[in-house]
Amino acid sequence: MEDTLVSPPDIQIARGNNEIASVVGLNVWLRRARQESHILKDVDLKIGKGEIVALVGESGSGKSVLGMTLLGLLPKSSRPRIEGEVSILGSKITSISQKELQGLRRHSLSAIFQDPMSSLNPSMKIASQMKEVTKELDRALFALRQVAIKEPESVLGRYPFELSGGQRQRVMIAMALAKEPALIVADEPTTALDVSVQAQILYLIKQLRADFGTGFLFVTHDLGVAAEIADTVVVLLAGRVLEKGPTKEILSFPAHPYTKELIASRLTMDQDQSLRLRTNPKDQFAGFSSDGCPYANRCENALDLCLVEFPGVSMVQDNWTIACHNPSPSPKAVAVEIKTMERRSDLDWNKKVVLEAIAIEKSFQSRTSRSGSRQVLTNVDLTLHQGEVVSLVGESGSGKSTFLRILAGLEKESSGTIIRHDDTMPKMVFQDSGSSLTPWLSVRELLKEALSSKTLSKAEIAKEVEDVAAKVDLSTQVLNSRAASLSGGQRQRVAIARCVISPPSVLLCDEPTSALDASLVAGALNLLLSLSESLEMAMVFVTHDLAVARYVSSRIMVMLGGRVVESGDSNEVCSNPLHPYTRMLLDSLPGERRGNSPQEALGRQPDISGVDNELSAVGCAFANRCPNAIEICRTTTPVATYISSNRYAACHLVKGGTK
Amino acid sequence: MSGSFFFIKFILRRIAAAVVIVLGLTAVLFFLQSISHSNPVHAMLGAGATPSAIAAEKVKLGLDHPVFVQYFNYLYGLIHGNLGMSYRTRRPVASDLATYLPATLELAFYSLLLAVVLGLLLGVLSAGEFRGTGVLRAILIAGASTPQFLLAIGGLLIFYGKLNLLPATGRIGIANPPSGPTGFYTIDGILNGNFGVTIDAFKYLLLPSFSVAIGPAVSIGRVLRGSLIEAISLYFVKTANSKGLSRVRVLTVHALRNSLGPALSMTGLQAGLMFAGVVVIEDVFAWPGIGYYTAQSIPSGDFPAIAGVTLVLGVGYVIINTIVDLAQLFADPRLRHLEMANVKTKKPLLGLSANQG
Ligand SMILES: Nc1ncnc2c1ncn2[C@@H]1O[C@H](COP(=O)(O)OP(=O)(O)OP(=O)(O)O)[C@@H](O)[C@H]1O
Ligand code: SF4
Ligand code: SF4
Ligand SMILES: [Mg+2]
Repeated sequence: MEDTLVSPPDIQIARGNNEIASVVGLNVWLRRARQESHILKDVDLKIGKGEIVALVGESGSGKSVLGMTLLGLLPKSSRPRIEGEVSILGSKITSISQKELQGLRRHSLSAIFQDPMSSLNPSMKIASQMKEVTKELDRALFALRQVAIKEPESVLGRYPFELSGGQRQRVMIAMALAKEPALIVADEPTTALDVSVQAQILYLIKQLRADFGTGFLFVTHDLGVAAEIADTVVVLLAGRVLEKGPTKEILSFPAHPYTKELIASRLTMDQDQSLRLRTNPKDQFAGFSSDGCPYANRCENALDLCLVEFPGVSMVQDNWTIACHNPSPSPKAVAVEIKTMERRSDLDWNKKVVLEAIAIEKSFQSRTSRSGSRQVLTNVDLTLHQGEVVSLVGESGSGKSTFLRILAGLEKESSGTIIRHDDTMPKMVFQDSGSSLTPWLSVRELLKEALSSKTLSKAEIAKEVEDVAAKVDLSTQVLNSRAASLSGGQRQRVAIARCVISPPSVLLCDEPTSALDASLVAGALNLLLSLSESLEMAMVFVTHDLAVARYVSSRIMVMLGGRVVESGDSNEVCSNPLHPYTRMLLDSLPGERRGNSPQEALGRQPDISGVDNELSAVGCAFANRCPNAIEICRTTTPVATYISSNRYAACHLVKGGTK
Repeated sequence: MSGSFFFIKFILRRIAAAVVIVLGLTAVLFFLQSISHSNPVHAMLGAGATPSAIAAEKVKLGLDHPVFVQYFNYLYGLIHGNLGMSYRTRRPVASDLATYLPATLELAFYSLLLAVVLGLLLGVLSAGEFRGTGVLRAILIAGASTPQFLLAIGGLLIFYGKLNLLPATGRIGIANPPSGPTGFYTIDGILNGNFGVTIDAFKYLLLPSFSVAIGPAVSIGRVLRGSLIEAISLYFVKTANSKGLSRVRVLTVHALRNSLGPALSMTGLQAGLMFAGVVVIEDVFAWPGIGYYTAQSIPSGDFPAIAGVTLVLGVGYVIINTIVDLAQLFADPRLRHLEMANVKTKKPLLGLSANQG
């Protein structure tokens, strides 16, 4: 299973004296609310010329703090205290003056941050922001062309809000690049982007380091991305480096128990749909032990020693080290796999229909164009059976969430019909439902509140609350805690419990796991699926992750420009996509190798010339980007072509019948 | 659609706002006058006036009509640029205002300028955690928490009484100062080549404008500091830092421009409030402005004078807010974009609607 994760690095990196950054025995303390905490502990790290080092680990592990330390940009307001040595190109940045540090940043260091929407100055034209890194116009234009910006001159004259997310991130990269720095710190540079744009950007970064020999510290929480891009992986947990070494080896044969868990909890295209996802059998929310190994509370191999003493570093191979007292796999560590889930093919089309949406259209009044409205949904149909799970996938802006909101009754369709064969309204779980819980209420109160529409006695209410808590696996202790004191996974559970305490016949989920750490995603998906099974609840699942869609749902609908361009059994859509757009989405998944020939593995070159992912206004919306486009595609919008009763695609090249 | 079209619409909307405000203010004033017991005619003619003289004077002033009619007469005059006659000075209110207004405007202008400069300094320095900021902050905040007239009197005691560095009262110490073209002595001095006048005028301005400015400066500075600190944690500021720009450049070019919105709103608000402060301070320093004029008009029930002053303040308020909003649009291209789009759909967004007070 790990094999799909690994790609050979595209270039062999010459290590040795080409070192551009080195971190030795780094400890960082930061202060918040008058309390100092030890954020990074004894971190060692080296980055060579042209090397891409991926820093992986869960939220809060200290990845960004390490990146900021390398840039010398820890926030002053946190009164950072640094011990140990950080050298960049031979200068020790902890002991040089502010001026020298600025000089270093001006000439040799760059940064790319996660959110392309906020990392450019909103009130300055791109040209002025570019000028701060290079005074020469030629160089700025060259850098913009490097990142496949089509009309660099016109982009220079625009404000950031006049660019798309992908364009902004490319401008950001161009800016980082223009001074030809020795090192770029990239903190989750693709996390906020669509998979298709992500694939373009990763490709770009690989090219750049080949062309310029730029070193990268690439912060990511996504092992697929790390596999795609990095030469070296550094695994961080609670500020400690647990494992460090060559990407291919580590991802194929992880030596550290925590790395093993990270890899095992990754949901891939090969995940067996009849099995529950593997979760850590120990308490997910155990927290970190402070003196010993930070993983000790969750580790299956833990010894008594692990709780009190952090292990020394040991060598697995050349350049490959781990810090663990007991790395040998224990028999218990094998996945706990329960065979409970229904096979997809068994899905019963004769089950009763709970929700129908027929020919839904939606247009919004446009703010900026005089011509009036913008069409966001065109002729979308959906028939949902009891207990069925359908996924909606597609790039951002394709209309997934709008459609979901219409199904939920939160938005009014412009035309079309919604038929609810049931009195209960669908309920909705959002991406950040967990964070929108009223922080000062206890979980019990939050759950009661969700019930309040019913007329029940006090005792009955209490019982309902206990029942739902048992269903979503919340302990009594959690029931009595305030929302503010819960972990991310617990909050998401509470949010789900609020939805199912009076079970709806349809549950609508909008990216319910994309704000969660990988180790929590499995738990949340298991929970949603088991609820859907036991309550016979139908679910519509909006996600940008095809691997998640394939695993949770029996049917996938692929959306583009407000239309459903492909629909069918989830396995079939993923293994045999009909529409070129679906194929592109699948090809863009990081760490998933579709083609087997070495040629394909190496040379998979995403089409970065694709007119910035703009949709074509007439004809097929994908025509601008489609490698197979023919003449008719630019003039006529393709209609749904059925190749079987439940499988269709809207593409001129797909042969079949109409319904 | 073109920016100039947007601009014209914007200004038209503001003029409409000014008209509404003028109508509202005068209506309120007339109502107040009608229920007050002050008798301006008595005050004018003195204690020994005969009832028939009083009645005759009333007819002459139009005070024998019902309030309603008086109001319309007043508005009619207003349209023709006639603000009526002052009962007290027996001169047209308009020319009285022309005499007193420049002094107030000059004081208000420099006070506002000072408030903005001090506010910027305070905001930027304290957000940037530069050395020595604490002292500046302490002084300003202490100043701001002292009532203005105490500040003024304290200033007088020290700089006039003890040190004898600055003059106590009045607007200028030089006889026959230039009488135009702007009415601001500091500027007219330069325009007439008489720098002595300018320097002297600044000496007289120093204490009063400081007394007025410190409070608003701290308010502006605090708001600015807040939004700067917020901006500093934003990614584009981190981006700017990662480019190796100097701390000052990051703070001013990147953070400041994107933090100006709230500070500008605060400036508009403070500018409005500042007139109240100016009126008090004019009294302390015997500054010959409209505050001084008003203070004399109130006891004699000089209604046309009071109404004239109120109108000027109301219109001034609209003008200041218009300037603040335009500055905000200038500072933030996104806002400009949205506003221009919204003029088209006739939906005012943010605070830029016509009835913003
Ligand atoms: N300015 C700060 N002052 C004090 N503590 C901080 C500060 N910034 C981060 N921390 C703490 O440092 C730890 C590491 O944070 P960091 O942002 O580096 O995590 P991360 O690995 O980047 O997580 P994520 O994946 O969520 O971005 C966290 O416990 C965080 O609360
Ligand atoms: S065996 Fe011990 S040291 Fe190794 S990961 Fe587990 S708890 Fe940590
Ligand atoms: S209709 Fe044409 S452009 Fe659209 S996906 Fe099919 S082949 Fe490509
Ligand atoms: Mg981070």
